[in-house]
This record gives sequence, structure tokens and C-alpha cells, in this order.
Amino acid sequence: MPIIEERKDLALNALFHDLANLAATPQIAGNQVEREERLCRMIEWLYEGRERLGQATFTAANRRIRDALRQMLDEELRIAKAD
Amino acid sequence: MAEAPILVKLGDYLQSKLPDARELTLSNFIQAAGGWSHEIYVFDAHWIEDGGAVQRGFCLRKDPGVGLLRELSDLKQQFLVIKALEPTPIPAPKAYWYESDPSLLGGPFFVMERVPGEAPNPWSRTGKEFYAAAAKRGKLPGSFVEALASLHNLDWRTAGLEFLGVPGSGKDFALREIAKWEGLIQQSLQKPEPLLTEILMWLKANAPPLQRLAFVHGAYRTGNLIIKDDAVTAVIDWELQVIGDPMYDVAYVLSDLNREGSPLLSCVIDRDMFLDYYQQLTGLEIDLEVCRYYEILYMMRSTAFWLSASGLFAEGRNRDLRLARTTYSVPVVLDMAARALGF
Repeated sequence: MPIIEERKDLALNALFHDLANLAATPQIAGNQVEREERLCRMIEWLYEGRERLGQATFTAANRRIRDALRQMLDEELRIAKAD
Repeated sequence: MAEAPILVKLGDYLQSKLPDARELTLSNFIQAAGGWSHEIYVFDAHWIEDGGAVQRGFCLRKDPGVGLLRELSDLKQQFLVIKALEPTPIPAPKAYWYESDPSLLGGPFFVMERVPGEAPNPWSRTGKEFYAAAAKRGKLPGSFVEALASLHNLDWRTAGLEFLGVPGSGKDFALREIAKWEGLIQQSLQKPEPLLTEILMWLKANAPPLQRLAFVHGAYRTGNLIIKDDAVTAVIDWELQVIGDPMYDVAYVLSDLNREGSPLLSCVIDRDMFLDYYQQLTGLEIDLEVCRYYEILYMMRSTAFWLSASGLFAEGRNRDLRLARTTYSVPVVLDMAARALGF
């Protein structure tokens, strides 16, 4: 697995671990594409359940997701900007 | 029998539309470099009519069948919009004929006036130099705002533009725009993009209520304007126009997407001058918070555009080499959106 994919994978693992604690979301297994797909659904679930979850939980989970998205994007940008 | 070249077919077509023209010939036929969605050709026609020589410049826009934004940009609608603008103060080309029959030139097309002037690409070095020099001379920046104001001041109902669809009150306009581009994303996505999902969900959750309706170009920037003697002689690329929030166009002008390294908006106008003069000409107050929202919507739109472009090339449906490079534009625009959202 190229180093960039490894780093993205680590970021996803850490994210799902933290989200399970923050918003009682399930731990996600599967390959990277499957887990990125699940992350998309989780983002939708958080926005749609914003009122039910409460603003504090939503904000904490959203901030954690955005941190991970930034880490993953920075890996993508290494390729885009190196080209 | 071999198929007649396009020039011969086009000559026959024009002759059918200009029955009084004798000795009709075409010259200076070139395919314009721009045009991601459609093939664009410009040419001159010469003929004899009522004993006198006539010369007229034409521009032809043709659906290649595999262009970008094909589902979002209907050629017949473009023709009808340009036709509707003819009696209005908006600088636009005259629209002559629309043909849906693909047997004539290999795809639906329309023919319009070739407006004198040029539309330099603001992303090219020569384009940047052109706009920087024009900005220094001082006339073009004002003309840029005046042309935009003419759009937003238009009585679009009287102009007969209701066929574009009129959004409902509240958040309907923003949500319609999001849905339109999300549809293109769904068609183009090769792999999950959680960051794009985050941006889409944020846009849906924060859609601003509509304050007023106007005729909106949808991609108002240098490169989509024909310029002669430092004045806008025509607004072109009528592909994404809508009835909607005028701040949608204002946001595009304010956006960093259109100035790549230039301190000037759209490479041509100082920000304060734009804000002041636009408000003076339209009587509208620019809501910078709403514009910030639409700027992020445009970043989502650009992502959709680049995803669609790279997808068309990857699937072998379009061999335009410009599309191959667009894969690398996706994370760059996503980065702009993430920074605009604060992460």
C-alpha cells in the first residue's frame, strides 16, 4: 500500500475510534473505499440528526470529522501538487 | 459517397436561410479554442444581395454529444435566452437560427452573430496581461460592472424569461442549485468523497433565504465577456443562467476561483470599486455573508465540473486532452472549500 494510502487509512481508523466515543457511532470495518463510503453516510447521519444529537455533540463530532478530512486531503494534495 | 466537409454543409445551410443571397461564400472558418461544453466555430459569410456586397460574421455553437455540463446546459434554451435578450439593454449577440436536426451538421446547433471584439482567457499569461493593462486604463472595470448590473436590473418577466423556471420563496433557490450540481456529482463520482459530502451537507444546512429574484448569468467573469475598445460588447456563454438570487453572480465575481494570482476581481476590477459601483447601479445592498455562502457553493460546483471532466476522459467518452489534467484540480478546489469553511 503506498504511503499516502497508509496515512489516509490511519486517519480513518483514528476517526472512527473517536466518533464511537463522541456520538456512539459503530466502529467501521472493511477496506478503505468501504469505510470512506460509510464515512459519507455518517456525515449525512450527523447533519440529519443534528437536533436529536444536540449542538454540543454535533459540533464535537463534526470538528473531529473535519480534522480527519483535512489530514486525508493533505495526503491527496501531495499528489495533486507534485504533478 | 464521402460525406461533405462541414464548410460545404454550412454553406448549403446558410444558403437555405438566406434565399436572396447570391454567390454566397464562407471564409475565416475557425474552431474557437474555448468551449468545454460545445464546439464553437466562427466564420465570415460574403454574398450579393439587392445588387450590393454583404459581409457578416457568424458564430456557431454545436452540441458534440459528449461535452461537459451537457445535462445542465440545453442548447435550445441558450438560443431562446439570447433571442429573448435581443430587445433588452443586456449586451448579447443576435440569435439567428436553432436546428435540432443532427443530420445537418452532426449535432444540434445554433447560429448567432459574431460580435466584434475578443474574450481573452483570464487563466492564460496573455489574458492576464490583457486584463491588467485594461484595468490600468480604467474603462473596462466600469463596463464590467455595468454589464452585470444590466442583467440584474432586467425585468425578466417582461423579457419572457420565466421559462427558465422561477424558484419558490425561502431556501428554494439555493437548494435547487445544490440539487442540480449534486446530480452531476452522482453521475461522475468514481469513488467516495467524504469531504465533498461534508461540503454538500453544510451547504444544505446553511442555505440562505432568497431576498429577491433577478436574471442571473451563473458564470459571470472575464473570459465569458466579449471586449472591444475596453468595453463589454457582449456577455456570452449562456449555459448556466437562472432566475435566482443576484448575489449568486456577485459571489462569483468576488470569488478567488476567478482571479488566480491577480489582486483584482476577475483579473480586472478592484474589490471596493466593484462593491460600490454595483450597489450604485442596481440599488441592491451586497450581503457579504450570503456571498460567502455562494462562494462555497461555487467551489462545490467547480468540484462537480472537474469530476465530470475527468470522468468523461477516463471513460474514453471525450478525448479532449484538457480534460485529462482535471483530476488534479479536484483536491485543489476541495482545499479552497475546506479553508473557506475553516478547516
